[in-house]
Amino acid sequence: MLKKLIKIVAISMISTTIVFAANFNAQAEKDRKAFVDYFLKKFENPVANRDKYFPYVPLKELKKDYIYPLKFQDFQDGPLSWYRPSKEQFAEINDFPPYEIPVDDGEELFNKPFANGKTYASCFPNPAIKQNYPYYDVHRDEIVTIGMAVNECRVINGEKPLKYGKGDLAKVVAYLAVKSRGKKIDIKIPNENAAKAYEAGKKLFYKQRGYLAISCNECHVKSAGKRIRAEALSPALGATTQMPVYRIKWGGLGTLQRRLAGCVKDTGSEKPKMQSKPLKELAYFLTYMSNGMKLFGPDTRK
Amino acid sequence: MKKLILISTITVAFLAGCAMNNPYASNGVDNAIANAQAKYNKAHSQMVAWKNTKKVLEKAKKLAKSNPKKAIALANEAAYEAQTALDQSAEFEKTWRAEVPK
Ligand code: HEC
Repeated sequence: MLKKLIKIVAISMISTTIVFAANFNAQAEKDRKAFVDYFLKKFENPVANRDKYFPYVPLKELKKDYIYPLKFQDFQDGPLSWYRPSKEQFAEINDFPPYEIPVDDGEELFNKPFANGKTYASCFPNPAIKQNYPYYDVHRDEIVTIGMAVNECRVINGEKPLKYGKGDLAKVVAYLAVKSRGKKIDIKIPNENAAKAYEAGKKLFYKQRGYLAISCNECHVKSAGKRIRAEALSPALGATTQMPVYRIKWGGLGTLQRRLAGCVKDTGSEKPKMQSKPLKELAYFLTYMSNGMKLFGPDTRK
Repeated sequence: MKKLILISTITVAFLAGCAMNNPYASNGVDNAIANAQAKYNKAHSQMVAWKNTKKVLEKAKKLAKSNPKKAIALANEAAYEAQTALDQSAEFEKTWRAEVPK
Protein backbone atom coordinates (compact mmCIF):
# COMPACT_ATOMS: atom_id res chain seq x y z
CA MET A 1 0.00 0.00 0.00
CA LEU A 2 2.69 2.44 1.07
CA LYS A 3 4.76 1.54 -1.95
CA LYS A 4 1.80 2.22 -4.20
CA LEU A 5 1.19 5.58 -2.55
CA ILE A 6 4.80 6.60 -2.98
CA LYS A 7 4.61 5.56 -6.61
CA ILE A 8 1.49 7.64 -7.20
CA VAL A 9 2.96 10.67 -5.48
CA ALA A 10 6.18 10.31 -7.41
CA ILE A 11 4.39 9.99 -10.72
CA SER A 12 2.18 12.97 -10.06
CA MET A 13 5.18 15.04 -8.98
CA ILE A 14 7.06 14.16 -12.13
CA SER A 15 4.09 14.89 -14.33
CA THR A 16 3.42 18.25 -12.68
CA THR A 17 7.06 19.23 -13.20
CA ILE A 18 6.73 18.28 -16.83
CA VAL A 19 3.56 20.31 -17.19
CA PHE A 20 5.18 23.31 -15.50
CA ALA A 21 8.38 22.94 -17.47
CA ALA A 22 6.37 23.07 -20.64
CA ASN A 23 4.59 26.14 -19.39
CA PHE A 24 7.38 28.55 -18.53
CA ASN A 25 7.78 29.58 -22.14
CA ALA A 26 4.07 29.59 -23.02
CA GLN A 27 3.76 33.38 -23.03
CA ALA A 28 7.11 33.81 -24.78
CA GLU A 29 6.07 31.39 -27.53
CA LYS A 30 2.83 33.27 -28.03
CA ASP A 31 4.77 36.52 -28.26
CA ARG A 32 7.33 35.06 -30.61
CA LYS A 33 4.79 33.67 -33.05
CA ALA A 34 2.94 36.96 -33.26
CA PHE A 35 6.26 38.78 -33.66
CA VAL A 36 7.44 36.57 -36.52
CA ASP A 37 4.04 36.80 -38.13
CA TYR A 38 4.08 40.60 -38.01
CA PHE A 39 7.40 40.77 -39.86
CA LEU A 40 6.53 38.11 -42.42
CA LYS A 41 3.33 39.97 -43.31
CA LYS A 42 4.97 43.36 -43.31
CA PHE A 43 7.67 42.29 -45.73
CA GLU A 44 5.61 39.94 -47.85
CA ASN A 45 4.72 42.62 -50.33
CA PRO A 46 5.39 46.22 -49.27
CA VAL A 47 4.08 47.51 -52.61
CA ALA A 48 0.69 45.81 -52.38
CA ASN A 49 0.42 46.46 -48.62
CA ARG A 50 1.68 50.00 -48.75
CA ASP A 51 -1.42 51.49 -47.10
CA LYS A 52 -1.06 49.28 -44.10
CA TYR A 53 2.69 49.34 -43.46
CA PHE A 54 4.46 51.98 -45.52
CA PRO A 55 1.99 54.79 -46.27
CA TYR A 56 4.67 57.48 -46.30
CA VAL A 57 7.26 55.70 -48.40
CA PRO A 58 7.11 56.81 -52.05
CA LEU A 59 5.81 54.04 -54.29
CA LYS A 60 8.77 54.44 -56.59
CA GLU A 61 11.15 53.74 -53.73
CA LEU A 62 9.15 50.73 -52.56
CA LYS A 63 9.34 49.24 -56.04
CA LYS A 64 12.97 50.04 -56.68
CA ASP A 65 14.74 49.67 -53.35
CA TYR A 66 12.77 47.12 -51.34
CA ILE A 67 13.69 43.46 -51.39
CA TYR A 68 10.66 41.21 -50.96
CA PRO A 69 9.09 38.85 -50.11
CA LEU A 70 11.29 38.17 -47.09
CA LYS A 71 11.22 34.63 -45.74
CA PHE A 72 11.96 33.78 -42.10
CA GLN A 73 15.70 33.23 -42.54
CA ASP A 74 16.10 36.34 -44.73
CA PHE A 75 15.79 38.47 -41.60
CA GLN A 76 19.28 37.36 -40.62
CA ASP A 77 20.63 40.29 -42.62
CA GLY A 78 19.30 43.00 -40.30
CA PRO A 79 19.15 46.38 -42.01
CA LEU A 80 20.44 44.77 -45.21
CA SER A 81 17.59 42.28 -45.38
CA TRP A 82 15.12 44.63 -47.02
CA TYR A 83 17.05 47.63 -48.33
CA ARG A 84 18.66 46.90 -51.67
CA PRO A 85 21.12 49.84 -51.83
CA SER A 86 22.63 48.84 -48.44
CA LYS A 87 22.67 45.19 -49.36
CA GLU A 88 24.58 45.89 -52.57
CA GLN A 89 26.98 48.26 -50.88
CA PHE A 90 27.79 45.78 -48.14
CA ALA A 91 28.05 42.84 -50.52
CA GLU A 92 30.88 44.78 -52.13
CA ILE A 93 32.52 45.62 -48.80
CA ASN A 94 32.30 41.96 -47.82
CA ASP A 95 34.35 40.91 -50.84
CA PHE A 96 37.16 41.44 -48.36
CA PRO A 97 35.27 41.22 -45.07
CA PRO A 98 36.73 43.63 -42.53
CA TYR A 99 35.87 41.16 -39.76
CA GLU A 100 38.17 38.50 -41.17
CA ILE A 101 41.36 39.67 -39.45
CA PRO A 102 39.67 40.08 -36.04
CA VAL A 103 38.20 36.58 -36.42
CA ASP A 104 41.67 35.20 -37.18
CA ASP A 105 42.94 37.00 -34.09
CA GLY A 106 40.08 35.39 -32.16
CA GLU A 107 41.11 31.95 -33.35
CA GLU A 108 44.68 32.60 -32.28
CA LEU A 109 43.54 33.77 -28.85
CA PHE A 110 41.30 30.74 -28.57
CA ASN A 111 44.17 28.35 -29.18
CA LYS A 112 46.89 30.21 -27.30
CA PRO A 113 47.67 28.51 -23.97
CA PHE A 114 46.98 30.42 -20.77
CA ALA A 115 49.80 30.61 -18.20
CA ASN A 116 48.61 27.26 -16.80
CA GLY A 117 49.01 25.60 -20.19
CA LYS A 118 45.30 25.13 -20.83
CA THR A 119 43.33 26.95 -23.55
CA TYR A 120 39.76 28.14 -24.02
CA ALA A 121 39.08 24.69 -25.43
CA SER A 122 39.19 23.39 -21.84
CA CYS A 123 35.92 25.28 -21.31
CA PHE A 124 34.54 25.04 -24.84
CA PRO A 125 35.53 21.61 -26.15
CA ASN A 126 32.92 22.19 -28.83
CA PRO A 127 33.06 25.85 -29.86
CA ALA A 128 29.79 25.67 -31.85
CA ILE A 129 27.71 26.84 -28.90
CA LYS A 130 26.65 30.41 -29.60
CA GLN A 131 23.10 29.32 -30.50
CA ASN A 132 22.47 28.57 -26.81
CA TYR A 133 23.49 31.99 -25.50
CA PRO A 134 22.36 33.88 -23.56
CA TYR A 135 20.92 31.12 -21.39
CA TYR A 136 19.26 31.12 -18.01
CA ASP A 137 21.39 29.23 -15.51
CA VAL A 138 18.97 27.77 -12.98
CA HIS A 139 21.66 26.97 -10.43
CA ARG A 140 23.14 30.44 -10.45
CA ASP A 141 19.72 31.96 -10.96
CA GLU A 142 20.91 34.42 -13.58
CA ILE A 143 21.36 34.93 -17.30
CA VAL A 144 24.76 33.87 -18.61
CA THR A 145 25.95 35.56 -21.79
CA ILE A 146 28.63 34.28 -24.11
CA GLY A 147 30.92 37.13 -23.05
CA MET A 148 30.53 36.09 -19.42
CA ALA A 149 31.30 32.47 -20.35
CA VAL A 150 34.52 33.57 -22.07
CA ASN A 151 35.63 35.63 -19.08
CA GLU A 152 34.70 32.95 -16.57
CA CYS A 153 36.84 30.53 -18.54
CA ARG A 154 39.75 32.93 -18.17
CA VAL A 155 39.23 33.41 -14.46
CA ILE A 156 39.04 29.70 -13.60
CA ASN A 157 42.29 29.33 -15.52
CA GLY A 158 43.96 32.06 -13.50
CA GLU A 159 43.77 34.81 -16.12
CA LYS A 160 42.38 38.32 -15.75
CA PRO A 161 38.92 38.91 -17.28
CA LEU A 162 38.77 40.95 -20.48
CA LYS A 163 36.92 44.21 -20.97
CA TYR A 164 33.40 43.56 -22.27
CA GLY A 165 31.90 44.77 -25.53
CA LYS A 166 34.91 45.01 -27.81
CA GLY A 167 38.60 44.20 -28.23
CA ASP A 168 39.93 40.73 -27.49
CA LEU A 169 36.70 39.58 -25.90
CA ALA A 170 34.71 40.44 -29.04
CA LYS A 171 37.37 38.66 -31.11
CA VAL A 172 37.02 35.42 -29.17
CA VAL A 173 33.22 35.70 -29.37
CA ALA A 174 33.52 36.32 -33.12
CA TYR A 175 35.54 33.13 -33.47
CA LEU A 176 32.88 31.20 -31.54
CA ALA A 177 30.27 32.84 -33.81
CA VAL A 178 32.02 31.61 -36.94
CA LYS A 179 32.21 28.11 -35.46
CA SER A 180 28.47 28.31 -34.70
CA ARG A 181 27.40 29.44 -38.16
CA GLY A 182 24.38 27.55 -39.42
CA LYS A 183 23.27 26.48 -35.94
CA LYS A 184 19.72 27.44 -35.05
CA ILE A 185 19.17 29.82 -32.15
CA ASP A 186 17.75 27.81 -29.28
CA ILE A 187 16.94 29.91 -26.22
CA LYS A 188 15.08 28.17 -23.43
CA ILE A 189 13.01 29.42 -20.51
CA PRO A 190 13.62 26.75 -17.91
CA ASN A 191 11.83 28.09 -14.81
CA GLU A 192 9.73 30.85 -13.37
CA ASN A 193 12.62 33.22 -12.73
CA ALA A 194 13.73 32.79 -16.32
CA ALA A 195 10.21 33.67 -17.43
CA LYS A 196 10.43 36.78 -15.23
CA ALA A 197 13.74 37.73 -16.80
CA TYR A 198 12.18 37.32 -20.24
CA GLU A 199 9.28 39.58 -19.23
CA ALA A 200 11.67 42.20 -17.88
CA GLY A 201 13.54 42.20 -21.20
CA LYS A 202 10.30 42.42 -23.10
CA LYS A 203 9.26 45.45 -21.09
CA LEU A 204 12.57 47.13 -21.78
CA PHE A 205 11.97 46.57 -25.46
CA TYR A 206 8.40 47.84 -25.65
CA LYS A 207 8.22 50.55 -23.00
CA GLN A 208 9.07 54.07 -24.08
CA ARG A 209 11.98 55.64 -22.26
CA GLY A 210 14.50 58.46 -22.13
CA TYR A 211 13.93 62.11 -22.92
CA LEU A 212 12.85 61.11 -26.39
CA ALA A 213 10.14 58.93 -24.84
CA ILE A 214 10.75 56.30 -27.49
CA SER A 215 11.04 52.51 -27.42
CA CYS A 216 13.02 49.89 -29.31
CA ASN A 217 9.66 48.77 -30.66
CA GLU A 218 9.09 52.17 -32.25
CA CYS A 219 12.20 51.94 -34.42
CA HIS A 220 12.77 48.19 -34.88
CA VAL A 221 9.19 46.90 -35.19
CA LYS A 222 6.81 49.65 -36.19
CA SER A 223 9.37 51.60 -38.24
CA ALA A 224 11.45 48.62 -39.36
CA GLY A 225 11.69 48.90 -43.11
CA LYS A 226 11.81 52.67 -43.09
CA ARG A 227 14.75 54.93 -43.34
CA ILE A 228 15.89 57.37 -40.70
CA ARG A 229 18.40 59.83 -42.12
CA ALA A 230 20.99 57.66 -43.87
CA GLU A 231 20.08 54.50 -41.95
CA ALA A 232 17.79 51.66 -42.98
CA LEU A 233 16.00 50.55 -39.80
CA SER A 234 16.51 46.87 -39.13
CA PRO A 235 13.70 44.53 -38.13
CA ALA A 236 14.10 43.27 -34.57
CA LEU A 237 13.50 39.76 -35.91
CA GLY A 238 16.92 38.31 -36.62
CA ALA A 239 18.66 41.19 -34.85
CA THR A 240 21.01 38.92 -32.94
CA THR A 241 21.92 36.41 -35.66
CA GLN A 242 24.95 38.28 -37.02
CA MET A 243 26.55 39.36 -33.77
CA PRO A 244 29.21 40.36 -33.06
CA VAL A 245 29.46 42.84 -35.93
CA TYR A 246 32.33 44.78 -37.38
CA ARG A 247 31.13 48.37 -37.48
CA ILE A 248 32.86 50.85 -39.71
CA LYS A 249 31.91 53.57 -37.21
CA TRP A 250 33.66 51.64 -34.44
CA GLY A 251 36.60 50.61 -36.61
CA GLY A 252 36.34 47.19 -35.01
CA LEU A 253 34.15 44.50 -33.60
CA GLY A 254 31.40 45.05 -31.08
CA THR A 255 29.24 42.56 -29.24
CA LEU A 256 25.46 42.47 -29.06
CA GLN A 257 25.59 44.20 -25.70
CA ARG A 258 27.69 47.02 -27.05
CA ARG A 259 25.09 47.63 -29.75
CA LEU A 260 22.18 47.37 -27.33
CA ALA A 261 23.77 49.76 -24.85
CA GLY A 262 24.26 52.29 -27.66
CA CYS A 263 20.65 51.99 -28.75
CA VAL A 264 19.39 52.41 -25.16
CA LYS A 265 21.45 55.59 -24.91
CA ASP A 266 19.99 56.81 -28.20
CA THR A 267 16.55 56.95 -26.59
CA GLY A 268 17.95 59.66 -24.29
CA SER A 269 18.51 57.27 -21.39
CA GLU A 270 21.51 56.60 -19.24
CA LYS A 271 23.74 54.07 -20.91
CA PRO A 272 23.44 50.74 -19.09
CA LYS A 273 26.59 48.94 -17.98
CA MET A 274 27.84 45.92 -19.90
CA GLN A 275 26.51 42.68 -18.41
CA SER A 276 24.12 44.60 -16.15
CA LYS A 277 20.93 42.73 -15.35
CA PRO A 278 18.65 44.84 -17.57
CA LEU A 279 20.96 44.63 -20.55
CA LYS A 280 21.19 40.86 -20.21
CA GLU A 281 17.41 40.63 -19.92
CA LEU A 282 17.02 42.70 -23.08
CA ALA A 283 19.44 40.41 -24.91
CA TYR A 284 17.63 37.33 -23.58
CA PHE A 285 14.27 38.58 -24.84
CA LEU A 286 15.59 39.75 -28.19
CA THR A 287 17.46 36.51 -28.86
CA TYR A 288 14.43 34.46 -27.88
CA MET A 289 12.41 36.31 -30.53
CA SER A 290 14.78 34.88 -33.18
CA ASN A 291 14.56 31.29 -31.95
CA GLY A 292 14.89 28.82 -34.80
CA MET A 293 16.87 31.20 -36.99
CA LYS A 294 20.30 30.13 -38.19
CA LEU A 295 23.31 32.03 -36.94
CA PHE A 296 25.63 33.57 -39.47
CA GLY A 297 27.80 36.06 -37.60
CA PRO A 298 29.89 38.05 -37.69
CA ASP A 299 28.88 40.57 -40.32
CA THR A 300 29.74 44.13 -41.34
CA ARG A 301 27.71 47.23 -40.51
CA LYS A 302 27.92 50.97 -40.98
CA MET B 1 3.46 102.65 1.45
CA LYS B 2 1.27 101.75 -1.46
CA LYS B 3 4.35 101.55 -3.57
CA LEU B 4 6.00 99.23 -1.09
CA ILE B 5 3.00 96.91 -1.06
CA LEU B 6 2.98 96.88 -4.81
CA ILE B 7 6.66 96.06 -4.99
CA SER B 8 6.44 93.34 -2.41
CA THR B 9 3.37 91.85 -4.10
CA ILE B 10 5.24 91.77 -7.36
CA THR B 11 8.28 90.24 -5.71
CA VAL B 12 6.22 87.58 -3.98
CA ALA B 13 4.35 86.84 -7.18
CA PHE B 14 7.61 86.66 -9.05
CA LEU B 15 9.18 84.28 -6.54
CA ALA B 16 6.07 82.15 -6.46
CA GLY B 17 6.13 82.10 -10.21
CA CYS B 18 9.71 80.89 -10.24
CA ALA B 19 8.95 78.17 -7.78
CA MET B 20 5.92 77.13 -9.76
CA ASN B 21 7.81 76.94 -13.01
CA ASN B 22 9.66 74.07 -11.51
CA PRO B 23 7.51 72.32 -8.95
CA TYR B 24 10.50 70.27 -7.76
CA ALA B 25 12.66 73.28 -6.91
CA SER B 26 13.89 73.62 -3.38
CA ASN B 27 15.92 76.26 -1.63
CA GLY B 28 19.36 76.16 -0.16
CA VAL B 29 22.16 74.51 -2.01
CA ASP B 30 22.42 71.48 0.28
CA ASN B 31 18.69 70.88 0.17
CA ALA B 32 18.61 71.25 -3.56
CA ILE B 33 21.43 68.80 -4.07
CA ALA B 34 20.07 66.27 -1.58
CA ASN B 35 16.67 66.48 -3.22
CA ALA B 36 18.12 65.99 -6.70
CA GLN B 37 20.31 63.14 -5.52
CA ALA B 38 17.38 61.28 -3.98
CA LYS B 39 15.27 61.64 -7.10
CA TYR B 40 18.14 60.69 -9.35
CA ASN B 41 18.92 57.61 -7.23
CA LYS B 42 15.34 56.49 -7.55
CA ALA B 43 15.24 56.97 -11.33
CA HIS B 44 18.63 55.30 -11.70
CA SER B 45 17.64 52.27 -9.64
CA GLN B 46 14.57 51.82 -11.82
CA MET B 47 16.83 52.15 -14.87
CA VAL B 48 14.84 55.05 -16.29
CA ALA B 49 17.22 57.97 -15.63
CA TRP B 50 17.86 60.25 -18.57
CA LYS B 51 21.17 60.51 -20.31
CA ASN B 52 22.55 63.74 -18.82
CA THR B 53 20.90 63.98 -15.41
CA LYS B 54 23.87 62.59 -13.51
CA LYS B 55 26.24 64.98 -15.28
CA VAL B 56 24.09 67.98 -14.33
CA LEU B 57 23.91 66.80 -10.75
CA GLU B 58 27.68 66.29 -10.55
CA LYS B 59 28.22 69.78 -11.88
CA ALA B 60 25.86 71.17 -9.25
CA LYS B 61 27.89 69.44 -6.53
CA LYS B 62 31.11 70.86 -7.91
CA LEU B 63 29.75 74.42 -7.85
CA ALA B 64 28.06 74.12 -4.45
CA LYS B 65 30.73 76.22 -2.69
CA SER B 66 31.97 78.53 -5.40
CA ASN B 67 28.64 79.37 -7.03
CA PRO B 68 25.67 78.27 -4.92
CA LYS B 69 23.15 80.13 -7.04
CA LYS B 70 24.18 78.28 -10.17
CA ALA B 71 24.50 75.06 -8.19
CA ILE B 72 20.90 75.35 -7.00
CA ALA B 73 19.69 75.97 -10.53
CA LEU B 74 21.55 72.94 -11.80
CA ALA B 75 20.41 70.73 -8.93
CA ASN B 76 16.83 71.77 -9.54
CA GLU B 77 17.21 70.97 -13.20
CA ALA B 78 18.53 67.51 -12.34
CA ALA B 79 15.69 66.99 -9.87
CA TYR B 80 13.19 68.02 -12.50
CA GLU B 81 14.63 65.63 -15.07
CA ALA B 82 14.74 62.73 -12.63
CA GLN B 83 11.18 63.32 -11.48
CA THR B 84 9.94 63.63 -15.06
CA ALA B 85 11.67 60.37 -15.92
CA LEU B 86 9.92 58.67 -12.99
CA ASP B 87 6.53 60.15 -13.90
CA GLN B 88 6.97 59.21 -17.53
CA SER B 89 7.91 55.67 -16.55
CA ALA B 90 4.81 55.34 -14.37
CA GLU B 91 2.69 56.61 -17.25
CA PHE B 92 4.14 54.24 -19.86
CA GLU B 93 3.86 51.39 -17.40
CA LYS B 94 0.11 51.52 -18.03
CA THR B 95 0.31 51.40 -21.80
CA TRP B 96 3.32 49.45 -23.03
CA ARG B 97 1.62 46.06 -23.11
CA ALA B 98 -0.74 47.29 -25.79
CA GLU B 99 2.31 47.70 -28.05
CA VAL B 100 3.22 44.00 -28.07
CA PRO B 101 2.14 42.37 -31.37
CA LYS B 102 -0.73 39.96 -30.75
C1 HEC C 1 15.44 56.23 -32.93
C2 HEC C 1 15.41 54.93 -33.46
C3 HEC C 1 16.02 53.78 -32.67
C4 HEC C 1 15.64 53.33 -31.43
C5 HEC C 1 14.60 53.92 -30.51
C6 HEC C 1 16.42 52.15 -31.20
N1 HEC C 1 17.26 51.90 -32.24
FE1 HEC C 1 18.39 50.23 -32.52
N2 HEC C 1 19.13 51.03 -34.23
C7 HEC C 1 18.74 52.23 -34.80
C8 HEC C 1 19.50 52.46 -35.99
C9 HEC C 1 19.36 53.68 -36.90
C10 HEC C 1 20.38 51.37 -36.14
C11 HEC C 1 21.37 51.13 -37.27
C12 HEC C 1 20.63 50.58 -38.46
C13 HEC C 1 19.92 49.33 -38.12
O1 HEC C 1 20.55 48.27 -38.01
O2 HEC C 1 18.70 49.39 -37.89
C14 HEC C 1 20.09 50.47 -35.02
C15 HEC C 1 20.71 49.23 -34.83
C16 HEC C 1 20.33 48.31 -33.90
C17 HEC C 1 20.82 46.95 -33.83
C18 HEC C 1 21.81 46.30 -34.76
C19 HEC C 1 21.12 45.53 -35.85
C20 HEC C 1 22.07 44.96 -36.86
O3 HEC C 1 21.66 44.00 -37.54
O4 HEC C 1 23.18 45.41 -37.02
C21 HEC C 1 20.21 46.36 -32.76
C22 HEC C 1 20.39 44.94 -32.27
C23 HEC C 1 19.33 47.36 -32.16
N3 HEC C 1 19.43 48.52 -32.87
C24 HEC C 1 18.54 47.16 -31.05
C25 HEC C 1 17.81 48.17 -30.42
C26 HEC C 1 17.17 48.01 -29.14
C27 HEC C 1 17.14 46.74 -28.31
C28 HEC C 1 16.58 49.21 -28.85
C29 HEC C 1 15.85 49.64 -27.58
C30 HEC C 1 16.69 49.83 -26.44
C31 HEC C 1 16.82 50.08 -29.97
N4 HEC C 1 17.59 49.43 -30.89
C32 HEC C 1 16.32 51.37 -30.07
C33 HEC C 1 17.74 53.05 -34.34
C34 HEC C 1 17.06 52.90 -33.15
